[in-house]
Amino acid sequence: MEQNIWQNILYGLQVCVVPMNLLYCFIGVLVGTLVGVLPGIGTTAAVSLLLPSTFSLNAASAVIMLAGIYYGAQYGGSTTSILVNIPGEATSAITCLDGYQMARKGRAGAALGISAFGSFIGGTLSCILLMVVAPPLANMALKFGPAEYVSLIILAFVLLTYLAAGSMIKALMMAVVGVIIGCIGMDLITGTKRFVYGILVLNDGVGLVPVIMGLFGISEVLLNVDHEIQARDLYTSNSKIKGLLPNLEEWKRSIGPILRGTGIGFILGALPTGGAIVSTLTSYGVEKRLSKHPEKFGTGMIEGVAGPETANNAASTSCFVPLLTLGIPQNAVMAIIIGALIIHGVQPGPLLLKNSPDVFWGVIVSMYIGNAMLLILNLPLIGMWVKILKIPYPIFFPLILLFCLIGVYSLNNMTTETIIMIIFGVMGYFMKKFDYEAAPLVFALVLGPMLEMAFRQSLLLSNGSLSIFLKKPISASLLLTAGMLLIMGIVGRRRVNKED
Amino acid sequence: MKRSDIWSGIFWLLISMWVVIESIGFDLGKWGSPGPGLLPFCSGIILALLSLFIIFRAIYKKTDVPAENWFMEIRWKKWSLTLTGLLAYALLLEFLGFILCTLIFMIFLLAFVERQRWIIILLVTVLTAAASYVVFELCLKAQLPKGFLGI
Repeated sequence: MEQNIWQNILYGLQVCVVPMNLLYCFIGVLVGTLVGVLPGIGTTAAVSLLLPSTFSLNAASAVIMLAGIYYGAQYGGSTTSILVNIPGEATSAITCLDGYQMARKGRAGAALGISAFGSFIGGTLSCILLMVVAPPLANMALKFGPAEYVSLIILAFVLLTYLAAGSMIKALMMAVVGVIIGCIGMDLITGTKRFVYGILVLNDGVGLVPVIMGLFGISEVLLNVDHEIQARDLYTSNSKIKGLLPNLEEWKRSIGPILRGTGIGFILGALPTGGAIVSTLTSYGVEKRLSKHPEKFGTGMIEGVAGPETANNAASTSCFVPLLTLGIPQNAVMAIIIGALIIHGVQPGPLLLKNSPDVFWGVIVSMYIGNAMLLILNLPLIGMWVKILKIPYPIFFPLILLFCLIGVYSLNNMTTETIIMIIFGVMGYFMKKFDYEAAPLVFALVLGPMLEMAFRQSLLLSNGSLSIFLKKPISASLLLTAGMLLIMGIVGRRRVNKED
Repeated sequence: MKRSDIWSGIFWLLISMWVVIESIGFDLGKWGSPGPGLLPFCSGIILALLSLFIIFRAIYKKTDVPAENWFMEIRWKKWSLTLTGLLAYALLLEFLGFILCTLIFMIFLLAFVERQRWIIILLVTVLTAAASYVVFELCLKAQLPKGFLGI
């Protein structure tokens, strides 16, 4: 077994250490850091923006680059949180609390340093765990038939709403809306056209890329232009950041949070929580509870930076577990990567390990390399990112819009798809204003058609008997778990409400 | 609880009713052999129930928080100008061609929406058009539309 792992790492290295793949990995983490540093544009939008540019690559290079953007953004996001007190990414929002306070106390360098080192340690350890966990899981998933997939997807939906950061009801509503949008187009079994209304493009369904670019790209710009943006108050605008290396005492205080953050991030990242956000909040909460001075949190405690920053990076690695083993995305970025795999003719799912080992091992090993690149990009080159932060948003936002427009148009050279993107942009804007999350919608848009297909296939297998879902042991236990979580969710929330 | 929940709840309720009505027309199938209408039908019903829940919760839950009026605080002029620019770009791209359309789009946003200085407008516009042409047309071979001028 052990030897197998080394062989696999070696194989992954062979895939990765090709100059072209190293280049794409580098482009990925570079763009990721840039996107992470800039507050106006999120990871999901950036990954979907660069999706069209991967069409000319092979599958492994494409995923290596897209993954690089994703975990690269977790590094970049902390820079903005610490120096400007604006989260560069939602996953770094919690870092503002103590990171910015550290910067005000003259420890900006240590805060930046510990988040980069924490991210590196979290990312690397998470990568090792991923290598250990993923192959057996994929082998187990090989036994899955359509019935097991139905139960698994149902469990994923329940987990998604159970762990939603905001309102559980609203998350569920958005998931249902996603399923409905996923129904648009020609039904594959009977050929019935659903919700098409004579619009040709809709025959093949609503494309994932226009929806994501609308919900996460266009809507974000619309949210930013609707109010006056204050000039960014860069804390270090005049002075140079000194001392990127945390001192010995700071290291001692951080090592616990970093290790705990890795564990929290890895576990929560692998569940469909919609992203790494929940893991950062959990890590911060845990550190505050464990601390001897919980009252000092929010005044520049390094634990409050090290924990969450490690957790978000560990989570951004472990969310590849369900993607690579089950073919199930657990957030919008993973949904895009699934889309990229399908475009390249690679079928995501348990067979990925057997049929496309280059993608499987190449991506995993690229994460080691990418994390090392990020450490270099984010520590010695921090000054460059600070300069980029000074470019005013009014110059940035037309660029983001233009890239969305051309990116979606160039998918199929269709005006209708750009219009669809704009419609979802407006929808995403109002969803934000009315407190609805977009992530469950995207998640369901990918899983809805999978669920319908697997459900109908199972019933074909069982000659129409619904008991197939309960007769198979794996399927039954997945459904049981889903049921228990649902009950716990309802009871638990009610108790919380009563306490209010 | 929140007035905004009532409005959004009503919106989703209307959507769900429309989905349910349409789905019945797609053939629901029977237990054991679901038709193409079953999934949207069930989803529509669930959405309707959840929307009703949101609406009633919003009506009956008392709150001390004053009604939020973010709607009034938004600079709708800039917002709608940006949206108009987006729609115009999407609709005119094939007619005007990529280069002309991009130049007009960038100048429109930078000059009329953001009111930047002319030197910045020209610099950013030209650089953007050139850079996006190189990236999409030359590197990615995206075959951007040439428009009526043929450029």
